[in-house]
Amino acid sequence: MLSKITYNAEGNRKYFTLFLLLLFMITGLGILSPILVEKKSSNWEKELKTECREIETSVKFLIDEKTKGFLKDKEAFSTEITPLLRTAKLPAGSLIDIVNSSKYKSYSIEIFNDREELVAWTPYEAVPGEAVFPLENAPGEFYFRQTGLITYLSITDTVKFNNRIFYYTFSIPVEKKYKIQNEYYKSISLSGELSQKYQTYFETDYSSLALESKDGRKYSFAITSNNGNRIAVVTFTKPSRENSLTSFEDLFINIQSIIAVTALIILGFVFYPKYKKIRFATLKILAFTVYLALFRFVLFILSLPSKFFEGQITDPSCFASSFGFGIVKSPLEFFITISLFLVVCINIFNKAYRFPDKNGGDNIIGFILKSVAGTAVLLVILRGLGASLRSIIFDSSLRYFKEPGLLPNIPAALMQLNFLLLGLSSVLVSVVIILLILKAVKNKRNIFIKYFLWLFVFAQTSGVFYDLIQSEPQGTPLIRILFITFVFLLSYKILREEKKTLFNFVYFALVSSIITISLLNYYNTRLEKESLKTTALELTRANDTWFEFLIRDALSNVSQNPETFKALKDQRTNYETAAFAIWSQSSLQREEISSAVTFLDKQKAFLGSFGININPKYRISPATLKYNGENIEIFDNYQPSALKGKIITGIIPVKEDKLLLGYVVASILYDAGKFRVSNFPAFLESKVNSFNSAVSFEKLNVFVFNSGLLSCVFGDLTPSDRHIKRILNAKLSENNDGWIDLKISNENYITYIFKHSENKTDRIIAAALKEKNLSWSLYNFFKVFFIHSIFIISFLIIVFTLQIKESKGIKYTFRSQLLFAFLFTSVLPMFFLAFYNRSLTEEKNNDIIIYKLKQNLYDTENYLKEHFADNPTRDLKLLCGDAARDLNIEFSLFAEKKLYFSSKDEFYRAGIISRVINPLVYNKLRYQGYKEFIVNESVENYLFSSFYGRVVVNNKEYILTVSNLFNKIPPPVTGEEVDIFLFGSYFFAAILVIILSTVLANRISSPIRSLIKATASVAGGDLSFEVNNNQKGEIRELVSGFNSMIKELKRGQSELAELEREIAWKEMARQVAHEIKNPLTPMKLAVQQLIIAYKDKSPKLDEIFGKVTKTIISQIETLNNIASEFSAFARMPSLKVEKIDIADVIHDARNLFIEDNIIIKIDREHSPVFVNADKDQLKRAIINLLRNAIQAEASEVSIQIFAEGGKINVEISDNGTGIPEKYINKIFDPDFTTKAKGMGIGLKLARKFMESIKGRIYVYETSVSGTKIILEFPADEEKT
Amino acid sequence: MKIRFIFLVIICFLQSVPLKAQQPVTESPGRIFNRIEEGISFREIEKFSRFFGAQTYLSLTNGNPGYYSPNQVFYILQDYFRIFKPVNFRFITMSDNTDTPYASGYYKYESKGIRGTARIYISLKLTGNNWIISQITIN
Repeated sequence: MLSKITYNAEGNRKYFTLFLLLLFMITGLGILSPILVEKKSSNWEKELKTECREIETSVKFLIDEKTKGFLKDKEAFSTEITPLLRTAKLPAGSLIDIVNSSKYKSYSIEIFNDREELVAWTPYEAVPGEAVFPLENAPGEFYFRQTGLITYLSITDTVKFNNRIFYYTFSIPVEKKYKIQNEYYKSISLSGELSQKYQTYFETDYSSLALESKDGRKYSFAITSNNGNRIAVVTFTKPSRENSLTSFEDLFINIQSIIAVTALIILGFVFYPKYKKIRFATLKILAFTVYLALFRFVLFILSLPSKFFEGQITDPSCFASSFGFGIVKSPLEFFITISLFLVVCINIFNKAYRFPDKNGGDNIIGFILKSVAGTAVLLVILRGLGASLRSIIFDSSLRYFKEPGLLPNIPAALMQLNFLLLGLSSVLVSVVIILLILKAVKNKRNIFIKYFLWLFVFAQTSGVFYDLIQSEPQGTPLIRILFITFVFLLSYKILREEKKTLFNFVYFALVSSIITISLLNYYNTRLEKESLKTTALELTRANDTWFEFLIRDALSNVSQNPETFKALKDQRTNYETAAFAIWSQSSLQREEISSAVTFLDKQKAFLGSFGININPKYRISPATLKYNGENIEIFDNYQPSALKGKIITGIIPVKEDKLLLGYVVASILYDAGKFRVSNFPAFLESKVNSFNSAVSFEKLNVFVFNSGLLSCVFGDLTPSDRHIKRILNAKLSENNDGWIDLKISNENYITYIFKHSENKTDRIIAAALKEKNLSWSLYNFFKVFFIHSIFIISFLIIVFTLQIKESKGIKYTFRSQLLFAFLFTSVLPMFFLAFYNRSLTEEKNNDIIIYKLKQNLYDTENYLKEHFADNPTRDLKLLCGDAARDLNIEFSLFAEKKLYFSSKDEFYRAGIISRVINPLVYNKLRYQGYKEFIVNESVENYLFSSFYGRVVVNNKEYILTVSNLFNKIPPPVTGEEVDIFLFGSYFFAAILVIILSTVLANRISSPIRSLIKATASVAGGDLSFEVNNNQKGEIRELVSGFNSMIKELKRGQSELAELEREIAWKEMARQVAHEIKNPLTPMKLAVQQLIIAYKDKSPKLDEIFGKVTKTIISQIETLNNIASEFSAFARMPSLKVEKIDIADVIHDARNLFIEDNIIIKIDREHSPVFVNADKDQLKRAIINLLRNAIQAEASEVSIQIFAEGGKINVEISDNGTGIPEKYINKIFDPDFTTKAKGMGIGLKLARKFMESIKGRIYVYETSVSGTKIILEFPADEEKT
Repeated sequence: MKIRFIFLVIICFLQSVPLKAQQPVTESPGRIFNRIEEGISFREIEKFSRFFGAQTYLSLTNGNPGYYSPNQVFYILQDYFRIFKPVNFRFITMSDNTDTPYASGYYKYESKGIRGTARIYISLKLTGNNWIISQITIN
């Protein structure tokens, strides 16, 4: 077996050796791995100690690096503010500017004066003044400062000036104690960072009193300050033996996997020469496919390369199909599979030209059979493509059309590339099928069109029938018609032009893009419809048991959270903050449930609470307060009369060493009559309401009916009685659901109706979605097409780059220059205009938001002033509360720097938003005299606009602010709507401009291209060319001039030819005379000898007679030969240059020697290979060369056709006796021959012919073992 | 010619094989919960994957909560249990005689050598005559 493989690998020994070496390495690692694992296991204790120490050193180094950077920035800051603090009049505004400059944006900074008053600060106050004084740490020493929500690495220092002293704190967050599950949350966690880096669990106690863990499974070490004082203890779980050994084994497996894949690639190189020698194209494709399938299988089995990638590209939620046992279970796996599949398809496509057609094409029965089979396969391919696109939409949480941004994220971009490649594969295979069916008749112009049209009509008709017999056709009839039409157009182009260029793949890709996006859009529309079902599901998902589970889960986490114990033990705790931290980390936030978390002391007195959409009065049920148990207890029967729903509460006693510290209560508001749509502030939304839906929840209209009565409406629409009647009387399926169309305000709404019973109450949910208009579909289409265009353009750039590399320069045709000029002057300004309009609309939107905020602020100000004027003794805070409620405006009021009132006070008290005014606003309003100021602010990464204004109420000045953080102000035109309009219509216009530009460039450049073609023909000797002149203006004159010039040239050439003919005849006559004279002399001498012998009656007359007649016959024979040769020469027709397939001519020539005892092999790289030449003369030249080879006793002739250096070469090698060296330079001379009966004209004619077509013929090499002659043709310029 | 067409048909067939149909089998909620318990304990999602609904709500600690297709749920859970290897799992609450049967329990796992506990909540719903899994929450 091995010897057989070795034999097959002959000639590729270096690859084979490398392959064996890799196999040896895999085996070696397989033997070595258990030994090393065993060794590691036996030395585990020692290794563990070393590893723990190494982690400690590494962590300390990491923290040291962080603190060094921190101290460096602090010093730079100190240097910058010191001169300002040492001025007589403190420039507070400048200090605020420095503190808030971009170089310190990562830090929280506060500067206090000697009266401990805040002078300058950053938007979020890390260390309030009351927490700084008295100083707990020495000035200049860094330490960890813990607030309710964040732990900071902090430093407090002083600047002294005369008798004054300024304090400043410089802090950077290191650990957040809360976690919001949404896109706006900025995660900051030193412990998390360390856990990720060292792959074990880290926890950090940021306290100078922290102690090392006594748990033997953990390893602790202290962190010290720049003064050497302990400031924290880092504890990590020691790596377990089992886990470490498994990781160690995995390392070997990973190395072996990579080697195995490399070995497989090398194996490909080993058998590549064998593969090249496979004569049958089908077998070649099969071998190639089997190799790639094996390659994919190995990658799949070894989980490569997915195991080395983490993130969305390997996440099955982005895409997962069960196809092929999971070979497309993630975007990355899909990409690998489809890339390899595409390579196979390209291989099939490239070989499709070479499939022979034995039927010859005239067999109508054969053609019909092929048409039926081919059409069936074509339709199956389309169905397969549809099914795949369906899976791409339905098995993915990526929403290609829903996201407002134009540029997709990485997994979405990868998936868009994937389905472009999938479409490309399908188009390629479909074109191959049509090529195979029509190839036989492609050169029979009279029947080709007939057959082509017949097949096209047959395919389209079959498509209709195929749809009828399927229970669920994949795609729409329009997409099917488009697909078949495009595939036929592409096939026609390829069959007619007989060109195989890389640019054909661009057309394939464009067709693929159009078809796949159309299918994607179609299935997305279906998914959107299905999302109405999902909405109904979501609205009925919540129930008592699930809420109880969530409460139990939240409280279980409380009992394990050390922060809970700290909070209840420390009397200074802000319990609103602590409650928010617990709430944010629970699934109550993640599931966006109206809920609250409350702290109670051990006597069950209220300590603090945080909740959303649940009134503080109802957060604790009476039953909860009576509970004295030891474990979590749930109460689900609290139904305050003021509330429609009920409150489900859970309580857990918090104990440390059996000592009761207090209680934590979690509450949920459950209103079964309403559906669960939270009214969370955007920065706290987890987006669960979108639940992967294809449609934004805001776009839906939902109506809920309880016992036949409308109980709840979500959305802009309220159904009329007629609509309600239609919904309630809708015909439902056995699953109690159904679809109806509602027409509301002249708009069509697809409506899903779902009926179910809950607690013996019939509930009907109707979810309605407005039907999309054309601009939506255009936007959807162009949104993905834009990304596909980027991929296609990238491909073009690569092709161009490769071509430039090959040809050392780029050739711009007149047509392409025209096209680029048109595009540059039309499309580019169009895009600029689109982006300008986009930014203009955004600007207008912002202006409108500011205007509305301003109006809200004025309304609030007027309300407060008017009501205070009516009753000056009123409590301002109560009045503010009334204003917020009456005006339905959420606002805040600052007295100096501190918050005085907020209608959303809970968020300020919880520490989510700073209670100190934005310093930049304060600077503008207080120091720079502004009356009002608009500023962009943020909570986490959520950006919003705030409008601040100075207001005077009751003779006291306040700063009033209204923002769109809590006041929802929808812009008149959303960014999405702008994109729909601008991008959809502009991109559509751009496509039209591109098509128009291409047509115009083609048309304008058409006469120039005709002239170029004519010039080439003239240069090739064809003067019969006349350019069709139906142009106008200068081009008409140019063409006329060219045609006149050709006529003149033709006339001149005719005269010249006449002259040449005369000279040639004279030369010929001289040559003939010379040649004839040669045999005449011996003939004359012989006859004279005979006459003498006769007259002398010579006794040898008979002998002389015999000799003389022999001589005369011999010379007559010579004369005959001369006559034949000259006769042949005279018969030589004029040169007829045309584009011919050189391989065809060689095959024709070879066929003449079938009876001869010689093997003639033809090898060609490309098929067909076109040259401009005279077919007959070329054939004669080849025949001549082959005859010469036979006469040189050759038994085998090999003819190779190949392109090299922009030329087409025909290399004719024989194994004959060769040409003696002394004759090599003479063989093309006239009259030279080594043959007894030859005239030496054959090779001369061959050379003359080759020179006439700007080619050449030469002896490449010759020896006693053979001769190699090369015919070099100029390449067909049109082709290149 | 024949071979070529067979070859092409195979490729097309491979390309167009429909998605694996999820065929729920009529089984009692209690039996389904038992299968789930067994499947999670032995990391064999196949044991209960046929009960996934067309859209199953999935909420895991390491992912975005939402509705997923059966294929997605299968591979998401497979990945989840690969990362958080089950050490011990059992339902401690099970209610199979209501409109929406549910079960919840503790799931002890090991991830990168560290052991932890998560809580699982699974509910079913009736579609036609079949019970299917409507929600899986792992916190």
